[in-house]
Amino acid sequence: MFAHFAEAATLFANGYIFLAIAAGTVLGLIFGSLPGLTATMGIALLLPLTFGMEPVTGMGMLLGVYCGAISGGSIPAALLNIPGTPSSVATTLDAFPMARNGEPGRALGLCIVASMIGGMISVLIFAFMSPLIAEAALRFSAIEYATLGLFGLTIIASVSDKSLIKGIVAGLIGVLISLIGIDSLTGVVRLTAGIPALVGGVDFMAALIGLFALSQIITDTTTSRADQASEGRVRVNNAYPRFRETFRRWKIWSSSSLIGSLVGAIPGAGGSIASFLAYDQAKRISRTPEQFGKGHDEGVIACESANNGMTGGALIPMMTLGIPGDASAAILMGGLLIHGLQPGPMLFDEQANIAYGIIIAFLVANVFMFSFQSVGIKLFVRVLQIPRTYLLPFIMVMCILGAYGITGSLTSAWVLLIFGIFGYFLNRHGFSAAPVVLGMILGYMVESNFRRGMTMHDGDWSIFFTRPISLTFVLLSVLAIALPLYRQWRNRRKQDEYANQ
Amino acid sequence: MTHNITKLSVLLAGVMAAGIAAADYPTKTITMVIPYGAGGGTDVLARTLQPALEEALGQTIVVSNVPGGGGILGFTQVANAKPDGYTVTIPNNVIFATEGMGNATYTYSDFDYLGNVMSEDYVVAVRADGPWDSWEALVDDMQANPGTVSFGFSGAGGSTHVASEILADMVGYRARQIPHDGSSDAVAAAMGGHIDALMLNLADLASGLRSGRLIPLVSLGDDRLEDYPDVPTLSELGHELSLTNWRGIAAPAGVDAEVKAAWAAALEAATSDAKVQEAIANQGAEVDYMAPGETLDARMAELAESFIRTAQRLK
Repeated sequence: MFAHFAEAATLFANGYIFLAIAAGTVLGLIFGSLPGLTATMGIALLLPLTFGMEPVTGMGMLLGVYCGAISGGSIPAALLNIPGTPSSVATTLDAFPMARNGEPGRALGLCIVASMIGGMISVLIFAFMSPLIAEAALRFSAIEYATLGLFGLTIIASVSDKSLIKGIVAGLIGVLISLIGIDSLTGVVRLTAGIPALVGGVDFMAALIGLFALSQIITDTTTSRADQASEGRVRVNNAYPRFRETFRRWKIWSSSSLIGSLVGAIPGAGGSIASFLAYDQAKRISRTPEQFGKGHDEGVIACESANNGMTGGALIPMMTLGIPGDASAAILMGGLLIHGLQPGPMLFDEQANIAYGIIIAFLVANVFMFSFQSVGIKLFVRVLQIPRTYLLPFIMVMCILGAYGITGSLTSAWVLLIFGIFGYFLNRHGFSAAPVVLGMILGYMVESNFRRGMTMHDGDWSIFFTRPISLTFVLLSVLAIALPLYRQWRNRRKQDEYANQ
Repeated sequence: MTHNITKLSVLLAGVMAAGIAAADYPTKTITMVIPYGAGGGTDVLARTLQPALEEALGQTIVVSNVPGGGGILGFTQVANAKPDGYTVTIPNNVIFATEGMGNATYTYSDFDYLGNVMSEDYVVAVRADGPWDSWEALVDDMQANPGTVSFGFSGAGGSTHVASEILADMVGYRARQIPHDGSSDAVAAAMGGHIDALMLNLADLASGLRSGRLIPLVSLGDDRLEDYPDVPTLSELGHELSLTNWRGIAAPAGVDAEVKAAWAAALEAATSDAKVQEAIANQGAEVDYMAPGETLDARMAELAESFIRTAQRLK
């Protein structure tokens, strides 16, 4: 295998390939950091440019976009509470409070280092453990997807900041929204209220931008002008990559990167689930879980190492099985196909140079991603120095443009507006948007896979408990619900005893 | 949550647009609506054809992905567009299947077919570790134990679903039909051994077949597959059924003869381009150019009839 890497490395003697990857990474950072433009769009946009390139050069450029965008998504998430891409939704939970507390530089510094760690770990996993993980990913049938989704839904408990009931309500609204559109099991159109544009479901990106970006803009413009003055002065001297601070949370970044890579490798699960799962896990193993949601460094590190860990994971089933792990990987695969390269195990045998070259290109992309962000961090933070009267309209225009660009129809812009207003009222009444997003991601996944699993196994419920992976997720879900309840009950009893004494 | 594709390429391509128009058509940028996400078979085909078509038509073609509803959203957009030849799409059997299921507001006659570009065969494959080594063995099993063999396809009401039902009716078996969320979802399920058999287009099966985890049993096309010459066609096995998927160019119904002629010439040039042929072959399909006219319309009508009839029964 190392011989393969050494041989593939000779492809990189040409400086052009580095230029291509660097260009891709810069574009990715831009796409990731602008709300409404995603990794998937960036890759799709550059795809035609790669036709004329050598396969590894072209793929390297696209991988640069991928890494850059996933990581760049954390910049607006931390600074403005606006996730730049779906996978940075969880990042807003702690990075934004941290920035609000006057430490935007620190939040970004943590994001950058955590992204780099996640990316590097995923490169290693992608390079050396692909066959193993691909094999594990194939074990996921509809049953496992359903129970993974179920476990994912229990995370609602850890992301609903104030009230659990409100979190559950928000989560269920999200689930209902996810069910709009054609049911893939029967082909029946559901919950569209007769609106033809909703046949394909509610556009997730547009809804996401609305829930976070637009609702934030409405909130910001309606809140008092008094705090605007203080916003103008932002300290930039604390904006630098936070190595020591990140590295000492080794439990958090190692487990989160691993969760990211593994979840990324399960086709269809995706980066947003990965970062939520990692966030939840970090909160569980943390000594200070009560600090989460208030600007805790552990929360920031968990999400960012997980979503960049996901990038390498998503490439595994694409490269070794020919099954793309997410939408971005699907376009990357299209890029390979156009060059006449059929992804799959044969690629590593017949076209070893290209397959291993792509892994090296992915490593290079991660290095560029980190370097550019380290240089750019002071610049990013200065965004907060722009007076809100200029910044907010600009973001608003970008959001609507982005939403329109997703489908090229005004429907998405309407979805954005409606969800923006919806998100504003959610916030105002103490609901948070994160559970809605979780419900939207997981609702359809649980529902359709549950029914598909039941069709496959003749409606036999016991199948959820007899398959090991599925049973694990069921038990984890039960634990996730039972443990906090038990703790609450124990605390209350202690308090009662204390009161009695 | 996936499939969020940009039309931003529109903006860039528009900026770079440079074309000299010779005739009355085309005189401006043409939008090609792809009703699926980037990276899928139709999208790859569009991007493969794009340079050759641009050269032949002398105008920029903008590929615009409008995914959603298994193709319905994009096709609806085109069916409702002005029939001026500046909005086209790449249809396939899904147009008929969605009409039959009653989910679409268009009918197949809302489109003018400007030419067929390629055809690809539906192929039935089974997981390699299963007990079936031939189509006959699979059919025997499905007939002896109705409803036990799980048979996957891409999505409910899609073209592979309808084709699977047509096949089951024709041959006379009953399988446990399992719809998936897209073809790669179905391939993953079969490769992991969670379903027994599946029907997809050859290109979608490619990764599974080459990995050796799936074996092709029968092709529904007229001729044997080039890459798998040992796999029989259904008609060789004594069933008079030939179903292929196709991809061509269509515009909203009512375009001028001039538009049709321009596209016929452009498609003929594009499909005889060696690069295009190679790229289509790489996808596991073959170039099958058919000029617009009565033959093409008759073929569309025939496919539409059988797909719509079966899909209506599935509702």
